[in-house]
Amino acid sequence: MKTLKHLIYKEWLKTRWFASIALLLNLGVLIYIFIALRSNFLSAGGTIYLSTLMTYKTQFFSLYRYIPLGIALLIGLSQFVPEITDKRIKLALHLPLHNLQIIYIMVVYGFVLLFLTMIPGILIFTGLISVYLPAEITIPVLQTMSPWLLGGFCAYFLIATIALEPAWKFRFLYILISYKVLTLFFMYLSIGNAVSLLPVLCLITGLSGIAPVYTSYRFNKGQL
Amino acid sequence: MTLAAKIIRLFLVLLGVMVLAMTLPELYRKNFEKRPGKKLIYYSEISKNFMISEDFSDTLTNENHIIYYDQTGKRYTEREYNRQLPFLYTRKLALLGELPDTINGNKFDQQLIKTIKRGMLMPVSSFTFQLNPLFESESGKVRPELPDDLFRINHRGIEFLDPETNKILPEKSRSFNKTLKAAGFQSPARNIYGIPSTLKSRDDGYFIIDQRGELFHLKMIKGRPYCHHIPKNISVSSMKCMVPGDLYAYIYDHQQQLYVLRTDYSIKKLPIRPGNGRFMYSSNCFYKSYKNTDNDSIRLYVLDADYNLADYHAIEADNYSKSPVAQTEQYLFPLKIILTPGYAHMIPLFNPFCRFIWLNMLLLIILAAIKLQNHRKLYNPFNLLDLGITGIFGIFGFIAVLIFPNRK
Amino acid sequence: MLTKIIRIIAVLFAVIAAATVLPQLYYTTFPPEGRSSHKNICYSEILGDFIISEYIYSTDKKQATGQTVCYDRHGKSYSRDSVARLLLLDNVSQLAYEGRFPDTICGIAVTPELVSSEAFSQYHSAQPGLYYGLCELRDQKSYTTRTLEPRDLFRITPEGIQFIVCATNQIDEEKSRLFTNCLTAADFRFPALRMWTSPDKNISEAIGYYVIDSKNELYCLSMNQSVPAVQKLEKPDSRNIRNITFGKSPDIRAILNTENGNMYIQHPDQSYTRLELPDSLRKSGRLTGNLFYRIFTLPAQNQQTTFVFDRNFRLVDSCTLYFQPQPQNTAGIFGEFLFPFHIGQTAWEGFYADWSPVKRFLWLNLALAGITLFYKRRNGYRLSNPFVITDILFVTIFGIYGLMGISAFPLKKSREEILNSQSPEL
Repeated sequence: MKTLKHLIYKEWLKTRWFASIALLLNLGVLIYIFIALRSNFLSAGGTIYLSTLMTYKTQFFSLYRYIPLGIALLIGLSQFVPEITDKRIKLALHLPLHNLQIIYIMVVYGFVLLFLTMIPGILIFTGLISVYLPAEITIPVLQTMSPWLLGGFCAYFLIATIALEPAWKFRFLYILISYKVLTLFFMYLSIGNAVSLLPVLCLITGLSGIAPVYTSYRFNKGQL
Repeated sequence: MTLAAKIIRLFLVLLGVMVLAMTLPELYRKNFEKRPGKKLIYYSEISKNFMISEDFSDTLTNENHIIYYDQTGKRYTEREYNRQLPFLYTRKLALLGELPDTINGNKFDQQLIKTIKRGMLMPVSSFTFQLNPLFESESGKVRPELPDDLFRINHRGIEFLDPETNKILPEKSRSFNKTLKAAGFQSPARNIYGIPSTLKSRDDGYFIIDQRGELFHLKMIKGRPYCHHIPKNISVSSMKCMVPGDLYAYIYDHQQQLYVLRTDYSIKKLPIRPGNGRFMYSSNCFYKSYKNTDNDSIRLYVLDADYNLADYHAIEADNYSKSPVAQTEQYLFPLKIILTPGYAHMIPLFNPFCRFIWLNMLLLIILAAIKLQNHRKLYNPFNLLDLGITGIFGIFGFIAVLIFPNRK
Repeated sequence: MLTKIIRIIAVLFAVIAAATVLPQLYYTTFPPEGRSSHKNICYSEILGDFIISEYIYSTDKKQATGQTVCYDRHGKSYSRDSVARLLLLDNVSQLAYEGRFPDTICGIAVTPELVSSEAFSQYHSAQPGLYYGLCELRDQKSYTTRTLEPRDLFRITPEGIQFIVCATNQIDEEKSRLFTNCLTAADFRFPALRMWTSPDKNISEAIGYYVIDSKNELYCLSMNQSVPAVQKLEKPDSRNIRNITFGKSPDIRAILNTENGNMYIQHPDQSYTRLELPDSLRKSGRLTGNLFYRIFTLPAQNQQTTFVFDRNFRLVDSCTLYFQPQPQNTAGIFGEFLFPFHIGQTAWEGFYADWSPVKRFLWLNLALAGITLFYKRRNGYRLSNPFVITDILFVTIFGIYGLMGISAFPLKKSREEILNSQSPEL
């Protein structure tokens, strides 16, 4: 239990400033989107604004598209880059826990941090826009933003996977594959059309969540 | 490697196969595809013939020649061809002074030209907002005006929403709900079809599919609700509403067969073979023509004013799948994964010909050789699975298996 | 010394950035309450005067609806029904729909089709727009056959005109030589300064390009069945031409602006008429036309002036509409205290700095300057240092922007200052 606390504290020390920046970035962008929505809504009038939005399917929230990816990079890189420079991860693996457990404590920590950075902001955002937009618009908007959020989680897991991979040759190939996989999450889709893709994206995110098991194989054998 | 890691590796290999199946065929096609020549077919109202043009121009090779002929094979010059299609080349013929005076006994003037309508029909299912403005149908104004509320139909029935306050208007909702119930409507609505913009000369209201699949017509006439149940014996997959004319809408059923809903509420099946469901339509006061282009042919159906078949012709289409480049592609890729437009789905398209089997076998042998060279035991189930994946997925499997290696 | 000067420049950039972004963010977060009324002005051919219609939103914030009131310049109000009978040319479709369109207007026999076909609308700017120097020359007879469709683009260089074949990226030497000779024969001095054509493909085909050569002379360049057609045109006056727009109506061939702000209409017979418009050096305006009139609308900050000309382009009347800026709410007033100025950009003004009334923001500025002074004294900055005084001056003039600027790029203390500030402890 104590080892767990120490491990989590070590991760926190690495990531605290980057997580704070990520939280501010997330909240800042979402609140700015809301402020702009409110201003346009009030100046055009509800009738005209909603009718224009529905005719042209304007994505007033498109500023948020790559923010989850940015947050995943901030937290993922700040967490794993120190581990792989000088192979410092060896130090963590001397702790009296199974190697896979240590690695997964790190990954789960990152996942929880990512969740706490992104999701409360989205919930606040939903509450704010629901003041002006009816459910028939709010729900498709959230459905369109969901692939971006899943993309953030998937990107984080892929960063962990790639960082744990020892050979640079394979790291490069995995970076190429990750890029292609992530384009699925962040491509342009008209409002509401993303909902049919969500099951596949959830599967891919889940798979990327367990991918670190594969690249961290050498630690399982006791090799370092 | 532990068993868990090996199983996860297999899933990663399948992910790799998926990514490659999305990327490589597209890369191949973009690199090697040559633009095929364009073939166009139109129906001439003057000579009642099908006029076909074949375009051999290619800006990249500076080639520039087009041939014109009709369905009997008779050749035409460019000018003769233009003269046969006055509705298509109106401006050109006017400048050359070759516009006909009459067509089919009708004087060829502005009024006749105004009857031309062109557009596209597709059975693509795409997201639409289930919130629409209900226009006043008989406002006395030349164009409908945007109303101050929006309506939706959920399990509570029809609800009118005030966008300014985001609140329901109870009186109006109650009054419309009564009319809907009286017409036999069962909430919630499955789908609402209409034209929610003011850019139309008349408002025809909305066509709504209720919970049971029945079709209703909803309008607001002088502030009072109007709801009419339209009897039908087809199951509606999607509808495309038309700007005012003799039609309310086109209807697609689940087999992509086209029907028309006319202004007297009759539903008529169009004598058109569905094909891939995508049609370019062009209508004037004499004929309505529907052109469907699919993999092997371009089919043009000509219907008269009553939507009965007047004439039909098909020509061979010249598209990518016939080119030598596509033939080579058949030997390479066992499948390709595409993303559908509208609601995004990832669809695997399997190669119907089995020509890729040779490449697969070759890659399988190469993989076995690599494994043997690395002193792997081929009878190990995971190695056999690797070989199996390469055998089935060909080049995708081969690359994926090597990218995610089985570590010792 | 150099670093300190670079720091001052950096602080000024930060002030400009803050002055552009902060007010925008503030006024987006606290938008003005209520909506300003929309005003629209039309010229009535029956009345011989302007009629202004205003859509006034109801004072109840929650109501979307408003009312349209119509009145003329003298304040006399009209009902919507009577207005439709006075503005016949602008309400053709509605009147025809109701069957109320008359047979004659002002003594001239009319039909709805005739009136609709005479109406047009276009924009003209006194400033030329984006220009690549590479254009497509369409043959005048390209409507007769597809074989005359252009496959090249041309540019006019100091050596002459060059046609570049798109497919091969090579110059078509023969065609280029033919056209260069033709241009030289017409006394054209290469290279061309600028070229204009109509965005409408049909008009561009018929007229071709208006080209200004290096001596500021005007030429018309076009191609007729692959034979070049070059014509030297008279300029409207002795000044250089600034911008040309081609007309959408058959009686207007082109609209030209010259260097000193004069606007001319070129008729199809290539004669010119000068428009009695005020100097319009930087403005862009809208030109609408109907059966009787040609109407120019020139916008400006918070106002719009409408000039009505007859079909011979003689000025008939003009009227300026003033748009009241929205009444200020508390957020707006607070904004004036907070922001000394804000930097913005509009199509007709370009970049501008809008200053708030001095008596409003001066108080906050002086307070912030006092805080800065206190802070600097506290942290051992000497007031004799000229850069410290500059900092305080920035805060006094630029207020909150100045404070953000000097905080973003703090003044670094020199070694002597650090030693001096530590000496009391020694």
